[in-house]
Amino acid sequence: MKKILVMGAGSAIAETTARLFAQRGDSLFLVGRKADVLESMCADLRVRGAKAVGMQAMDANDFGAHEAMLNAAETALGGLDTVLIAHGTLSDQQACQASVEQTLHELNTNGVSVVALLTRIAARFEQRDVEAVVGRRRRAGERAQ
Amino acid sequence: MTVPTFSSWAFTSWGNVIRKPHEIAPLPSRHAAFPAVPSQTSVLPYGNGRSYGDSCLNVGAALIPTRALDRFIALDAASGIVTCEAGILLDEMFRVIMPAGWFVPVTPGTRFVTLGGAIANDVHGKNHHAVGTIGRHLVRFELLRSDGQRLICSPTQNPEWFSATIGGLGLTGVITWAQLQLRPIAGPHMSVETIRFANLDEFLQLQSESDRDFEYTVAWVDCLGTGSQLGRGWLERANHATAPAPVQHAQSRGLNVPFAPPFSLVNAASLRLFNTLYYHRPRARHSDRWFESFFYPLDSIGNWNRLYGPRGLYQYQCVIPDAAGREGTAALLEAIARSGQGSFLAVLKAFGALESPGMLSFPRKGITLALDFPNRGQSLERLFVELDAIVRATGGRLYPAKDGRMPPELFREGFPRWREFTQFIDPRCSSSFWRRVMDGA
Repeated sequence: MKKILVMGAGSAIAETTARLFAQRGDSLFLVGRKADVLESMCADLRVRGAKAVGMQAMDANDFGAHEAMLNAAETALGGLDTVLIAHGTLSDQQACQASVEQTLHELNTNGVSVVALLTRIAARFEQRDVEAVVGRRRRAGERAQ
Repeated sequence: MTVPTFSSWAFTSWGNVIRKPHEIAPLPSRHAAFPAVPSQTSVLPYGNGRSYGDSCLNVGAALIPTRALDRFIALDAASGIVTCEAGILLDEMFRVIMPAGWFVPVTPGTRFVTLGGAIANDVHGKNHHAVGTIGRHLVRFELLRSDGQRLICSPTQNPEWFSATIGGLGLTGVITWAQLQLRPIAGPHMSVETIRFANLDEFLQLQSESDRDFEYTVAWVDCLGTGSQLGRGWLERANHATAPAPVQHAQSRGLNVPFAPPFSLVNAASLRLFNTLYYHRPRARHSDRWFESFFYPLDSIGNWNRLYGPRGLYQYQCVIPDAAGREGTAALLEAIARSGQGSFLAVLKAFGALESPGMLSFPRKGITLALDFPNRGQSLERLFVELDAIVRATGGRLYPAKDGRMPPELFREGFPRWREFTQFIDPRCSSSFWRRVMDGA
């Protein structure tokens, strides 16, 4: 029975994976941007067999919120031993070419935010004797011309 | 890249007769607003496409795919009330409710239907004589209308909407979630008895004896039998086994038909051979069977509908009211045997008297006969016209979920509450089926 943090929980791949975790009785903490989606996922995962389910609505680009979110996840689950990072966007290449701001935003969402999270998570996992598993999925954002 | 919100895709139904592009009007979650579509385009909710004809299609317009709405909302393991989104498949539901000791109160012959589709067609099962249709077991559901209203419908809350939406073919709006009273089971097995009958009279006798002690009864009939063998076949009667056993679902579905062969493998020669062998095969009277093999024998062959070739198949399911049951059914079987266009799977079942709340619900007290036919065009339609005349003369009707061709008058005579139903149709909803049966009304 693992204690799993799921980043970008509302994505299709994260939800499908979370259901498999729930079926085997894991505890889950869901993070995503839309609170209503997270709430309905929590109910669903409880019915499917999750031992405990918690959630927090957060934008991954809100780097300042990461530490508090990780604390909340650890408190809710009584620790943490697996993290699945599945957030990201399908970037609009043309819009990015036309806007530096947009490009930096996409880089933050799909790159920097992941590095920021991993840095904090790695530090926490190193301090303890944790079976550290960090999943990372690449999205199809590399479909540039 | 801009993610399209309104795109086109080819959709079909289980009969594979119609495969046409439809616009897609997405409904990403049960909380989402009714999809915005151009004002002249109608929409229709589309679940898993297991209706046979055109009742789940809206050719030339848009569909609202509902499979993304597949979350559970709650399961009360003590009372057996499950609440879930309408796009969930019965198959998905089983994986959660069965280990908790519950089963759906009513199931059709495939577990790959959505809950919303089961409601919209007010499905019946082999236990119709004991418990009626699924509509009788709904606690409540939410209906999302195109004007943004969300109506909670139950026998006491918005009862007229409850009644119109059960068997309402998706035309009253989108069912977003539903609450269903389950029935308790001790385990996943079925205690089954299989008995051969030599003709229709024996079937009727056997069926009425069995209905008292068995929750489930259904018969396979050899529709090529004539004379004294008219209506010969096998009756299966069953109850849920009382012995508990672990629920272990197979990970794969086993056999699959990967593509449609260039012509139908169901033809006069294969039919006669199959029916004769099937009727004469020796079978044990008592058996203990895994629930899927009893309820869903065809689900074990993925895409079995493809065996009927690229032109697809038609199903004909009618109900003959009780008074005319014996003669009407005999007349149907005689007409089919004469035509030589038999069906592998002719299913015979006596419906009970329990009434559904559904305004357009199909089952009524009487005998229902369901047959599959390869699409042979005009020669098949000639047979259907003959069958229609028999059904009509007995005051019977055809099942919209199975239909792709019934004449409008037959629908309107068979479902006299259609006029009352029209006032509940969402102004933005329509279907190929509905336009067809309303022709000339």
